[in-house]
Amino acid sequence: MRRRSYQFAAGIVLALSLILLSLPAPTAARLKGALTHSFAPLFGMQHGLQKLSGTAVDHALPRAALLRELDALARTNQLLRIQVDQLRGAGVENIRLRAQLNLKQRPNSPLKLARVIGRDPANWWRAITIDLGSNDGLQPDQPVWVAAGLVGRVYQVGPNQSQVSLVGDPACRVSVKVRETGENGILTAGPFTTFDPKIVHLHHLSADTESAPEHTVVTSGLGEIFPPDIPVGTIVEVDRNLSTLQTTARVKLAVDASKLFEVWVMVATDKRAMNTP
Amino acid sequence: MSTLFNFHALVILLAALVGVFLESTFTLPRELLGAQINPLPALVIYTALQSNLTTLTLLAILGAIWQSTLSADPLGIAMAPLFFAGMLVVWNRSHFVRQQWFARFVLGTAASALVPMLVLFLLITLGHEPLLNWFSLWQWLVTAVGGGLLTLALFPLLDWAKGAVTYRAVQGGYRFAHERASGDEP
Repeated sequence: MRRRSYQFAAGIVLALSLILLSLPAPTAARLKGALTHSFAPLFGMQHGLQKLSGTAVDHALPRAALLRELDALARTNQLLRIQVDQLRGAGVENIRLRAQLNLKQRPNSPLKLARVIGRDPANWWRAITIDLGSNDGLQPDQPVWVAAGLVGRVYQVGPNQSQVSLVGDPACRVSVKVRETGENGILTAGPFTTFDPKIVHLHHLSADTESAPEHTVVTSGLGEIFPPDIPVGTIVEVDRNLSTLQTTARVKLAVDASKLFEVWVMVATDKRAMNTP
Repeated sequence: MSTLFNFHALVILLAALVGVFLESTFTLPRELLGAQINPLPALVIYTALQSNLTTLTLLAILGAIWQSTLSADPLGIAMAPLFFAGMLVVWNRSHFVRQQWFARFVLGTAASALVPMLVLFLLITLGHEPLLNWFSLWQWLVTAVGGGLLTLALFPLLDWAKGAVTYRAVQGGYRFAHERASGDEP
């Protein structure tokens, strides 16, 4: 009797495992998205606690410190306004020149601010969970970044939450270029990425590459996911090997993903338009 | 009796849900030790020793689904490994001195070491490319020992939750020698 119940339980587990693992990727992603609702009360409590602690900190902050910060922000705002005015002229000129050359106009893709609410529990992936989903217009493969640089791409989308695959994760390979030399390459996880998640590898540089430490790596715009010229990181070491046709460089990422609390998602509908050179 | 079973199963499943949530949101172990500790193998050991097959099966199914929901892992990938680890304990339940903390620690450590190995095996078999290198050995060690320590903490906590709403079973009556040795309830 007991043996039969063991066999029955094992049969259920194995059958369910096989069914779930053989689901088509979009169906599995939709199912995952729907199942995130199980955590809704817990995430709600977490948000409430964070708000409460934030309010407590706000009350504890001295007025003088707040005024100093306000003053600094007002000055930064003024500087940025001046820069925007200067760039507006260049923007108009750019639109006119693009029209003369029959180039597609670059769209102004809306950005949405998302809160980081969790990280991948597994030690073998680099991913975060954000509090925006398909209800907010998110779709897979939309780029995610912060002011410091590229964070990754939207990987799986649920109704109210999404998973973002971080740069350095096997699911997030980025086509990049070295700003100083214009050389293109592909950014992937390196042997040290598990140890230090800020270090990744830049592959496919030519054997006689002129790229060197301190050079800046930005997105190339090739491929259909990331728009061009988003900062990604800085080269820290170039591994020159004359016996091979390609050179690999170690790149320190501009963004420390372990300290991310908020990120921007580019909610664009037309990926090709987003990558217009 | 049925209510007791339901409550105990509910407490274990609730602990799994909260454990998976904390694994995703509480990142101190990862920041300090470079690896996150998985609470599910520890819960599986507790369930295999203190509860029944139905709860173990439910825990393996729901725990694995919840965990993969917050992860880039394929849906339910840890289901079979968790169930397998639990069944190994269930089959040999009479051999373990379950009241001894060292036995609990060893079982928790072994399960926490076995489950990620099986999950990684499945991932690679299915054609995924998880991030693995020499540092992964350190992460595996941290996960295993952390899981063992978590097992030690879970037993009194979940026993307390179970005992909070029920009377303790009356001690006495005849028990087989191996039951007395292993701490099996009559």
